[in-house]
Amino acid sequence: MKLQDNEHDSIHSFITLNQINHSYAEGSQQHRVLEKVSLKISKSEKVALLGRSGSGKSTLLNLISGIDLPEQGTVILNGHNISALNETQRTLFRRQHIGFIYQFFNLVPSLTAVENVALTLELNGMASAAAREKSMTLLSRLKVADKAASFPSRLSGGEQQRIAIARALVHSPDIVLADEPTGNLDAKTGEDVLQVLHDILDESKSSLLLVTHSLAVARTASRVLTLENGAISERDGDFAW
Amino acid sequence: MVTLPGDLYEYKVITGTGLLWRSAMRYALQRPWQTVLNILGITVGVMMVVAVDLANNSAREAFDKSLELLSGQISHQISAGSDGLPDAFFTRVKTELGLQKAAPSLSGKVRVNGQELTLLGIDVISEAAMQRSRPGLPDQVFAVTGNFIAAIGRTRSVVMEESLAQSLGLEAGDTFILSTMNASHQAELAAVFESADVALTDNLVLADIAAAQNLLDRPGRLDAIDLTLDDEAVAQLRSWLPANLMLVEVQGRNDNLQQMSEAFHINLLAMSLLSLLVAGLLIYNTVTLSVIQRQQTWEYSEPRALPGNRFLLW
Repeated sequence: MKLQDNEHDSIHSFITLNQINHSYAEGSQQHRVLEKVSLKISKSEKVALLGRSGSGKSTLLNLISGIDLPEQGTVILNGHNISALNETQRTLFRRQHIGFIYQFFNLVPSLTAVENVALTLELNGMASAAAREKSMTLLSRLKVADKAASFPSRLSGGEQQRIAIARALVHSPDIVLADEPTGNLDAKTGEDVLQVLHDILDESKSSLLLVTHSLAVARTASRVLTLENGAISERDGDFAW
Repeated sequence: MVTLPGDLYEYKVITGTGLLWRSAMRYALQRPWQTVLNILGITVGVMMVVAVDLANNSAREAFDKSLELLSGQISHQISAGSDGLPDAFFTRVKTELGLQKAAPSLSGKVRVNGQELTLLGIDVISEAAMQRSRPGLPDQVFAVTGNFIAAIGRTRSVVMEESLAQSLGLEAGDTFILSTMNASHQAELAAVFESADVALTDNLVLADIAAAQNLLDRPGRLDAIDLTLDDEAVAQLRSWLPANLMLVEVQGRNDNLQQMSEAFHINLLAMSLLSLLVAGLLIYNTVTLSVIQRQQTWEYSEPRALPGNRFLLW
């Protein structure tokens, strides 16, 4: 898929959203959640997106990852116009370039911790033994190697989120999309998990888009944006929410 | 202008990995009863469709064979409606027209020990001349006991298939009461034979034509005269036949009977399609239940959270 000339400068940013409009149906009415949203995120940049519940944060993540397509506007990710890819291509793109971290972990309950992590690599075509080895290395880095053979139901919330982080990062994605990654953890555990995430991202040079409604969590990012009334605005310096 | 790197297009969609299979197997093993019920549901669904289809085909086949059993492989029949025709007319057909491939036919419903049976009267000599085969009856049926002709030649003697005789508690040589709509007669089981197709002969009693006339209370009467004719003989017979008798082409008659039974087959077909629908719903619900349960345990609640697509994970 080729970019238009006026989108050419977009390739200098890792993620570029151009004039995105998106709405969803609520009964017979259309509810607009994003209104002419534009956004640029550079390579290795860590961006936090603050917003109230229902403000469209998760919708924005879905659009960036190509899970949903915008009604209007373009999403350009690492030079690829996501909007122009078909579903299979978008799936392959996500599989290779994007890591997801969710509030409720979404680990596969019938796979062990190491298998959950290795699944990403196996789906990307890596041999089973190599995938397991690489997964174990990352689990060690996240200090949950001793839980490698445990099923998710046997793990604490913090441990599960560390496994989820390992799964999101094991294939060295270009960007990690984190949707309230500490939302289901207590404050101390959330802080630890967040620290581990930032440490590994610093090493991997992956970009981060962190969706949260917590100011404390947002402050860990290098740039903070807010999403309100369907529009994104940048917050500089000390801000309140 | 920027183009996508080739890897995005050359990348193969991996539709299954060892881990996905392992996950599926663990899920199945953790819920053995549900797994068994899933397999059972699918099995029952498939069996239902196959069973109804088989029943339909069997019914058609049985109907065809029943027709052939009663009339054999013949080309024409002389009939005269429900009253039948006098047996003297059969003699005239053979003597005046010289038609050798002709045999008298008489059948009726009888009851033996409470079981409804079909009594079929045959003329052994004519049958030999006709050389027709009837499904279910072996070629040597009339020589099974070695003295069949002598046995069946006796008034009120009959023969039947051996498993039918056993089910009626009879052995060769036994006498029993054979009832028609109007009367009861004492009959003798002269011999038993081994059937080539028990399903076709398990309600059939054979008797000499004269014995059948007595047992059915239709002395001197025939249902019809069975014939195997060539075109010339047909023309000759048509010109000779009295106006009150009909020369019926058997294939045409069978076709008519087939048409009459078509409604029955359509019902079976409808039942087959209905069972297909039910089986489809059964299988759909069985699989859906399994998927929904996994959704509820959020195994696949966010299929795209993993780097696979919906198709891959479902």
